[in-house]
Amino acid sequence: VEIPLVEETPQRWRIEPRGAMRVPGIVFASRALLPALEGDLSLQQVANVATLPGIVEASYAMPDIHWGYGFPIGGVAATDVERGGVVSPGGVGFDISCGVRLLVSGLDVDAVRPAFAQLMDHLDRGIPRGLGPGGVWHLSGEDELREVLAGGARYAVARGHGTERDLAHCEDGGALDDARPDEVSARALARGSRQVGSLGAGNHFLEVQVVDAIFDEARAEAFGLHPGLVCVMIHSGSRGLGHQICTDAVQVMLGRMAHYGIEVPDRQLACAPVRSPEGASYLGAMSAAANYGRANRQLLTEATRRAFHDALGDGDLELLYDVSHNLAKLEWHEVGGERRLLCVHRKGATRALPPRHPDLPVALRETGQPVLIPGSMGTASYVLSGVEGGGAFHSTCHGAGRVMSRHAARKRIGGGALAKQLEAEGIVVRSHSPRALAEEAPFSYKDVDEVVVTCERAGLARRVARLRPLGVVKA
Amino acid sequence: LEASSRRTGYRLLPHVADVIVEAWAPDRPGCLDAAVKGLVATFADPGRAAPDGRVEFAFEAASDEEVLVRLLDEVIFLVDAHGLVPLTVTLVEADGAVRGWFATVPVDVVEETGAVPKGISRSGLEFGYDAVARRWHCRVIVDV
Repeated sequence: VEIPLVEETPQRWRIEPRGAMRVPGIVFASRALLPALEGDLSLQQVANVATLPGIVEASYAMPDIHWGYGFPIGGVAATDVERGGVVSPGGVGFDISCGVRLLVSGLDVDAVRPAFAQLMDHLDRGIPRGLGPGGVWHLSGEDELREVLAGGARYAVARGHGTERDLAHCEDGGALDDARPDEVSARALARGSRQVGSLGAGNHFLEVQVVDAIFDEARAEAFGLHPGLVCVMIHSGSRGLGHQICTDAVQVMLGRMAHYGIEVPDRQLACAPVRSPEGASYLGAMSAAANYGRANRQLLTEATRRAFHDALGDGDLELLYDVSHNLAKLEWHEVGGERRLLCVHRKGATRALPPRHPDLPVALRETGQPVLIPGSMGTASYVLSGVEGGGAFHSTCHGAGRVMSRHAARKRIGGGALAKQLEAEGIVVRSHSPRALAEEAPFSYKDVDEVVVTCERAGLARRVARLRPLGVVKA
Repeated sequence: LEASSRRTGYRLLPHVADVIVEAWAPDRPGCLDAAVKGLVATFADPGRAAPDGRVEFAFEAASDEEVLVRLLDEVIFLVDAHGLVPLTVTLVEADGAVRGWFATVPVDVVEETGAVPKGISRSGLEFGYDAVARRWHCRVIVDV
């Protein structure tokens, strides 16, 4: 079915409500970024999300929108908690609290160059990834796993795996307080027990990067970024545990929707009222998974510091910020002139708090929240910041956005050829699986430069700095 | 990306960030076995590896689609939690109760050939008897 789009501005398109849609769809995109592939159902998915009970304002899509299942990737939807609003596990996604953190070294690129191959070898050995279980943190048992679920990065730091400063620069101080480990199934616990401190596969990565452009001098200085500075970007999530929690909750909610009189156009949009036992159970388990995700990235941070120390004699890497781009959060927002408690789903979208927001750490109060946007492998990544009046409940994009299937990417280039091409561009690659590498070829993604410029023009965030990769660690 | 015959087989179809597995066979257990092989083919090439393990499972499922999702979830669980890759499945169904076993190999004897699957989507799920083609057929979107 063709979904008609009305151009409101060159960066903002509207899908008028029709059928069961309760609100319009709003797509933030330049014309070039609009979903164009034959068979891409992402605009239909924007419209489907608009049917969720309690949804307010609009079903939003960010410039990196692409075809998901249930929700589009790059979707933002908020429901009114006290007016029957629902929570949908599909609106968070399988990889709960999948996210990104950026570590800032005190080293310029020239200082790391002589020992760069050794650094990459240390990272290659020190960062578990790919098939099967195996993380850097060997938990003592299920009780300790529950501590991770309750305490997230805070528990990791309390056990010596990081610093208090790390926590101040992590969303929610490193842990969500409303986590309910008792709502996490035995299967999810089994999948999570041996994966804390592992990267995973697919689009997850660790990259050593260098700052190569500054767009906002004042904010870049406040973030400690200058051209030539070496940084590390880590993209990972809550691993098998988060996926199992999503699977479990979708199954439960599919069986209970009739009871609540809810119908959805796509089974992956299964949902339950936030104020229901099923909704509360999911949100408690989801927060536990989010804490697991933050602990996971914290342990990967520690492993990265160790590699820097062993290879370069300097493991002093400071956390700029840690964002989640797959999460639902209960947040207060003004809607129709009234402050309301909303359940804000961000699926492949990043929260972007404006300057002076009370949830920001003191050091970042005046700048707005750092937003970390990983580009595709071998291209640029960005640091953005939240802006006053940012739309879509203070949300922005989460990455470049995929446009080509894994299958098509593999047909177009072999893993060996891709690795050679990256090396020719001066990017060192450490990967276990050439075919998995080929699936992530840069041409499979939208142009990240266009995505972030569109976010800026649409008033969703501002550009602060661009980073380019020096080395990539992937499955 | 295809390992099929007209009678029994599977194929992997592109989905932007993920992958679609289609499988078919003259009978229902054969179709489920082909789906398991298709799911494994998204991330691993077992080559000539011979199964050296057996893992049993049992679950309840209220619909055909539910049987398919639960079975494939079992595969993902085995890989993720136990580091085992199923090569075949044998199963018996009776009144919504499904029991069976996988023949497995350890992950380190297979070649990793793609992103590891993490979840089975309920979007666009299909499983049933195709009266025209006279075979069982299924289709799932796999999250990787």
